[in-house]
Amino acid sequence: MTRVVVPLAVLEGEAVSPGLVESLSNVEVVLLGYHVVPEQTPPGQARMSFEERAEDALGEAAEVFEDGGVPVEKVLVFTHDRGETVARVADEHGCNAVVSNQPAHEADDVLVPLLPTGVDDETDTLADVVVSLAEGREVEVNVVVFAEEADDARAETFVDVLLDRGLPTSSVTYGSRATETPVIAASEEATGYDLVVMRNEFSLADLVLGDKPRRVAEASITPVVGVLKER
Amino acid sequence: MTEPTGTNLEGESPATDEPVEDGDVTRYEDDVELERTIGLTGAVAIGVGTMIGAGIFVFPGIAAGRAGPAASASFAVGAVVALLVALPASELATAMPRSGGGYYFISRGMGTFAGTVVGIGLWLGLVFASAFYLVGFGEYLSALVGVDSSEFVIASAVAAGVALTAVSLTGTENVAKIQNVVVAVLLSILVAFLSYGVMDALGVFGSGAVPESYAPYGYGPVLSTAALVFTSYLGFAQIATVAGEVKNPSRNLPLGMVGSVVAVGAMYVITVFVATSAVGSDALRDFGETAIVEVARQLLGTPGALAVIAAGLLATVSSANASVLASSRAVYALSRDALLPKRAAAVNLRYGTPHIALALAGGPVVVLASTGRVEVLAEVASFLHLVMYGLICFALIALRRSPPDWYDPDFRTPLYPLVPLLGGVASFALIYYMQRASKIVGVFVMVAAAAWCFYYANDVSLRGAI
Repeated sequence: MTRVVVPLAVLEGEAVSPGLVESLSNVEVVLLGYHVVPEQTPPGQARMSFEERAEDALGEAAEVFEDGGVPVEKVLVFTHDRGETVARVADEHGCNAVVSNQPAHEADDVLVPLLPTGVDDETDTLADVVVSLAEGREVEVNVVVFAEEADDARAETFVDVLLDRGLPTSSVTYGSRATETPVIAASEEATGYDLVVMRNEFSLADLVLGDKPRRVAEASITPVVGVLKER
Repeated sequence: MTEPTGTNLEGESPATDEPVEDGDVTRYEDDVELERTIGLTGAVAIGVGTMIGAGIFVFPGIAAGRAGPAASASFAVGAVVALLVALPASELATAMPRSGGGYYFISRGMGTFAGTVVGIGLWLGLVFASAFYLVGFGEYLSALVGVDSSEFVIASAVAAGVALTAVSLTGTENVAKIQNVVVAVLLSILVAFLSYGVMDALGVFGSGAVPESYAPYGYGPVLSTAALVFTSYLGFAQIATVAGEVKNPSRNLPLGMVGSVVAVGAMYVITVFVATSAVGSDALRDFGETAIVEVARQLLGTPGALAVIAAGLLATVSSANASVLASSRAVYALSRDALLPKRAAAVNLRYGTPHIALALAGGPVVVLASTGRVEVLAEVASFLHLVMYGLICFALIALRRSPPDWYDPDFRTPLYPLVPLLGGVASFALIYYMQRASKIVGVFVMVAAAAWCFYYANDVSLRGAI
């Protein structure tokens, strides 16, 4: 079963959009409300001041999911470090993916960008997550390879895996783009979609720029499901 | 579980939630969690970063002037006392890994009255310590620009205090990472400098230093100097004040506290040895707070002196900053237990900072820094901490003799009851050797804290509660 964690900065007014809720309607959702405090502030002290407001805001977000027929588990965390908290909660709740939230009004078009990678497309969890998100819903899944040289063969192989695992042929298309900057190219491509599903594969540049799913989400203003490495 | 009970003058009660500690996270009911984000490196950086500012960059000159080369023995005595307290404090911290450190242990082990006196003592003790570091900062700034006037020192101490408070109020999230880098840079400069100094003193580079009489003023001043320089060991307890935010507390708290005391203790002893060998204790006394700069100039010329001035500026300001933050955590701990008004712990949403608690720490720091009285500021800070340390040791004995059902520390003090007994007695004994003015101010703070407890929170009961 696919479980995703949706982190929300609840006290900064971050909310979920109907498109994202619909996109996640097949999977289990852990809704992580968090509030980052600077190091001057013990998280417990922030809790004393803000717990009620944060609970209310998290409850409202949970209602949006429940109204869309998606049951959620709620967690509220006060922390100094967003990254550590998201990683821990994802691990504790057995999640396979982290959602980078952005607004989406529809839930019809899904982009699966395949970036240069160190893992095997055919056996990886990415395909499982794509299938469980799309299964039984009327969505278009477009698999696009972003690499130094166009590589339709890789995209086709991945599509075969999706078809093997049960997606109907009619809903899947593929292609590839030659680019020197795969993450930027994927972000540009993603602008026209309702959801992106991609691997969260670590590379050194992420230390400076942040993880790739978040970069794509922020640049394209499209929600991204970042699939975690298999544990 | 026993819950704290009672109300203060304004009808507020202590917080009574019962969190569960679970490695890297503190869990409350309703799936509310607090992330623990400070690792072992961060904990050691807090301890070492707070301590070396005083022990290396302010005290060697003053201490050598009072005790001669035997000042290294004064630092060693301080290290032993600090270690005797760090062990019991580690046990209590693993049993109660909460914000507030010594205040928390004593209020739970010995009750509201002792807790309030220590808690207010901790808040103001850190304020005195921070003011002391800032005056040290002023000395270094005046050494850098070459202005030799006490007005300049005080003015820059006050300006730095105002700036630190303002920065902490408006909040930047990355100060902890900067702190780690600062400590790493400082340690590199110091290790290079001290290694060279030790080799020089032993005669590796030609003639060795001619040893002067080890204790020219006798051994009495060794102890009174130990009481003065004990301020250089206050930082380990600040690790306990952030105990609620330290990852894997049962391992990292004892390692961080004991490890940072051992590390800085060794460095202090070597520093004084190097300094007295290089220029002699009479010259050190005349150089005063920035004596170590002159030692560096003697050994390594102007570049060495500049490196040490830069290190001194960094070290004193990072010590002052760490103390302000720890002091505001003491205010939070008191306010959570209704010993201060709840609004003192309020956090503003805009910057996410506890503005009232920070102002209650930073404001008095600025006022005290304006006095410019290095020795009294240092001794009052030590006085208030030593009272807490002594009581930590006795609180440990009290808790071990009749442990509440929740008392289950992961770290146990070795050689119980010898270590806490010695630690407790030694802490109070050091107070005896302080200057009269420092004792008067220290006692005044404690009496005022006791009066506040009777006036404001007479009805609050914390003993044995968690």
